[in-house]
Amino acid sequence: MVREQTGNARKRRGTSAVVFAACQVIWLTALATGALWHVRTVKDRPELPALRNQPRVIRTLYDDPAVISDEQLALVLQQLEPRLRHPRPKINHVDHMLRFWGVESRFDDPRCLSGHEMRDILLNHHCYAEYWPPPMPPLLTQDALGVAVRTQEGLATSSHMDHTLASVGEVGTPLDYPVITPEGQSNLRAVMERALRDFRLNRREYEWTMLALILYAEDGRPWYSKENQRIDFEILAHRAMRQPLNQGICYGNHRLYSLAALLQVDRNESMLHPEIRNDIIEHLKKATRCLVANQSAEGWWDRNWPDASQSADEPDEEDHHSGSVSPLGRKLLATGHALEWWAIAPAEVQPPREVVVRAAQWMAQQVSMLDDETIVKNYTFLSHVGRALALWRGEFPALIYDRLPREQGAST
Amino acid sequence: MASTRDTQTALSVPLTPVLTKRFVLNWQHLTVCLGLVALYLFCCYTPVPHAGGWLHASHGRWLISHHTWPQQNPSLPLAEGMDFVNTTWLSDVLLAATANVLGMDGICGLRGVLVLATLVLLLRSFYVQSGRFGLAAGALVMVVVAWWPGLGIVGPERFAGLCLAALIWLFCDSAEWRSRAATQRHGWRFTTLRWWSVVVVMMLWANLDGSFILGWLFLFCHATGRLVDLLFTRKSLRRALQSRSLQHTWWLLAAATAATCVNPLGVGMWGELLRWDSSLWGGADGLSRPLALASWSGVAFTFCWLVALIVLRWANCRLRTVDGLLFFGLSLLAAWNEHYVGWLVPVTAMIAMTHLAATRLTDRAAVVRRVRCAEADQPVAFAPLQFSFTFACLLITWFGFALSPLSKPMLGETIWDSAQLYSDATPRAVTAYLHEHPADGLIWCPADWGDWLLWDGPPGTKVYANSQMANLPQQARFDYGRMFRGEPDWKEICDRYDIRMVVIDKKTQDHMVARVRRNRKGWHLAYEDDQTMILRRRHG
Repeated sequence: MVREQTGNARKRRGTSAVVFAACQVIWLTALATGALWHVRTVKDRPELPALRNQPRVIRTLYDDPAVISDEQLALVLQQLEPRLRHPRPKINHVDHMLRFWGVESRFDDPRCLSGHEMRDILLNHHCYAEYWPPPMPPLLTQDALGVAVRTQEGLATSSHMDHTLASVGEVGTPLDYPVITPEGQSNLRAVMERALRDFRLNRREYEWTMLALILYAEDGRPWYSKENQRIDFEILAHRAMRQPLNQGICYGNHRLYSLAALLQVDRNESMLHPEIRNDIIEHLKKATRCLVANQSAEGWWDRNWPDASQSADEPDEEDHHSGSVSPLGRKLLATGHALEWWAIAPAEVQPPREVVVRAAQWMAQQVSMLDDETIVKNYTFLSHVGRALALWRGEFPALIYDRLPREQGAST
Repeated sequence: MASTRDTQTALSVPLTPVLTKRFVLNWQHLTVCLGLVALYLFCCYTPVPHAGGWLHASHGRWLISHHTWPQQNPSLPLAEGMDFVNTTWLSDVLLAATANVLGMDGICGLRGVLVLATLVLLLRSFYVQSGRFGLAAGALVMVVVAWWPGLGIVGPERFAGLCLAALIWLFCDSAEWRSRAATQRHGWRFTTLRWWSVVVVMMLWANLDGSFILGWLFLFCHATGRLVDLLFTRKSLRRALQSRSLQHTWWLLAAATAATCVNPLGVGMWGELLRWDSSLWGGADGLSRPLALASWSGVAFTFCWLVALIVLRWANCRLRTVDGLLFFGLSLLAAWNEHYVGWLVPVTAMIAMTHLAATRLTDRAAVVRRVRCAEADQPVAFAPLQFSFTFACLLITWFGFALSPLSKPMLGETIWDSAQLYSDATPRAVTAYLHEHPADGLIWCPADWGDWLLWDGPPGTKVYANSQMANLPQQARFDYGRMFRGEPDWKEICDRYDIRMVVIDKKTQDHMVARVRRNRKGWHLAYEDDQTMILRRRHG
């Protein structure tokens, strides 16, 4: 009887306490592990893309003497030498000219800065301070997040977000290149990482950050911005194609240049999904069609290049150039930019060659007639003009300048 | 051929009703029935809010048409690359299917059915806990009052509320289930059925709404509370762990947890819960709002604590650990996010019923229950009009169905026009305009209008923001605010996002209205009425 009651009591008890407790611990641990693994996967997402030390080179794809002759090109380039050796040269002139002439350029004209000197002004605080002495604040500042370039704070600062970074990248500056700030020595990688940490996809200026990524990103793998948004070249391409064609800095041309550069890199390294690649090509084709349809008889374009029925002279309150740029300046800006991105774009988005020739001939003629004052006033736009014309002759300006016939005393 | 002897034989047999005493209702039942039907009709005919539910229906429509899991928010083009965790996919699909098949009537009817089912389950739970119908009805009124501001909402919250009520019912009615299991043949099926019902409810809840974590916490509190109580009584962890009922509860928790992993994210859903910045911890819009006492939620929260204090003061029986864990745990959550006050109220009522039943006339409650259980299935003697209240309840129920939108397919038109079921704030004129003049790109509109535009607008409608704008990148949210307030750079923002159409709510955006009236160069006024202005970009 007692034995039977004990057996019944055993039946009313459950599994052994140890076994039961162990089972509960096991499934709770499994749940916690799975959940924590998911959290770890999210937290371990890259906050920066993998970067390569040496930037890629975005090359021209064409060499056509019919676009511009040696003599015409020599005259244009001579007109646009970087005569910036004077106190307080505008920093946006320095970085535009560096991008135009390249780091290896040297000139006999003592008024000209060499490529190395221009780069030193941008990346070495001591050199910068010689031209912009205190109490002018420094161009570069360093903190825990990296090295920042002061932007849009006056003549002694860069004119656009990450323009300086993209410019030094386009002339082949490696990421381990030393950067001297008032706080000490760093390198260009710190500038790049700071730019990427500050990056927001929907900010007003993103074109040069995109170009810097095209130059320095190791591959097309995504990373996550400070807004926790996944950024890859496809999302950047969508961003660049989002706005109306002539919206954005320089009438939307920098977006087109960045897209053309992306296509060139993708051709060699397959960074884009084929569908996105096709979207970009269609977008550039659309831009080409607009340019072809709206080219003036003389060969130039203006800020209304997508639709010539709109007036280009009516002031546009959203156009940051409209208040300070002359009609000629607008035309040089629009025409030079168009030829520049065409020079690096694939064949399927090219216009009929006569369109390019007409535009190039107009630019060459205009530049040859400019006085020094007008040149200085439109230096930044003219840098695109000169670079575009050189690219259409198959080489970067500094390399081609050496072999061109020109007046005595001018050389690199 | 019938004979008089046969007739006399028939008359001598006493007439007995087929129904048992269980179906003999009284005036209390009639009152509650009337109240529930009235509430059902109220929920059927309250205008549907213009935000929230329509977005979920849009997502459901997307899921039905694409047959795939969205990697990013399908309703916000600017949220490309942002994390998107869809925890309400099943609700979205159900809402979309209902709207597609039955239209607006179906949506309203669904809302009424869900609210009614939730309240019926809660009423049953409260009655089982207290044994007194009046007390249960009073607790139900408390729940309805606390839920009143949100009763019109159509969305995953309705499904989640039903799941919570089902869980409460499955636990409160466990004594009934066990008694049936003990007294009836194959009674073990009731225990198994209840067990699997809890598991199924949790599995469905994990796919209906992200608030399933509350259901899990409910089960966890029961399991932990049982363990603590056994530790106190048995004074030994080993002996406590050997308890069959404890093991039963913990195995139920394990099975329910496994069931919650049956969702498109799998165990990743639990990973999302560990991310405090996840939208799972927010309300319907994914945002967390601390409780403000000077609000409807704050008053409900205060009332819950008042009830808790009364119970503590007058309770004769010991407070169970599970009650304390549930109440204090939910109170902490509610203080952190007012969205959880809606969950705190029915749980407080459930706990209060238990202790109010224990404070007052416990024996009487137990006697009443035993008598009813004993007599419920017994035949009743014939008595005139004893089923009158029962028939009255049936009649009222039929009236409720006949007057509701769900009867339309069967009985024809109802007393209300479907058009009256839209709230006044619903921008129907905007979608009517869009159908005639579709937008050729992104539309900026107030976020709460975005839901309606996505649902009722022409296919391919793209909006800048909707009620889930917390999913947008920070810069986009910042720029949304500038557009809403009519800042001077609104045109630059439109250029940056390639906004082709701007829809303005004249009632809430007076600064924007004034600014566009002064200067809208590059835009033309395409439509205007008392509620809205629509601007379209010139030159495409």
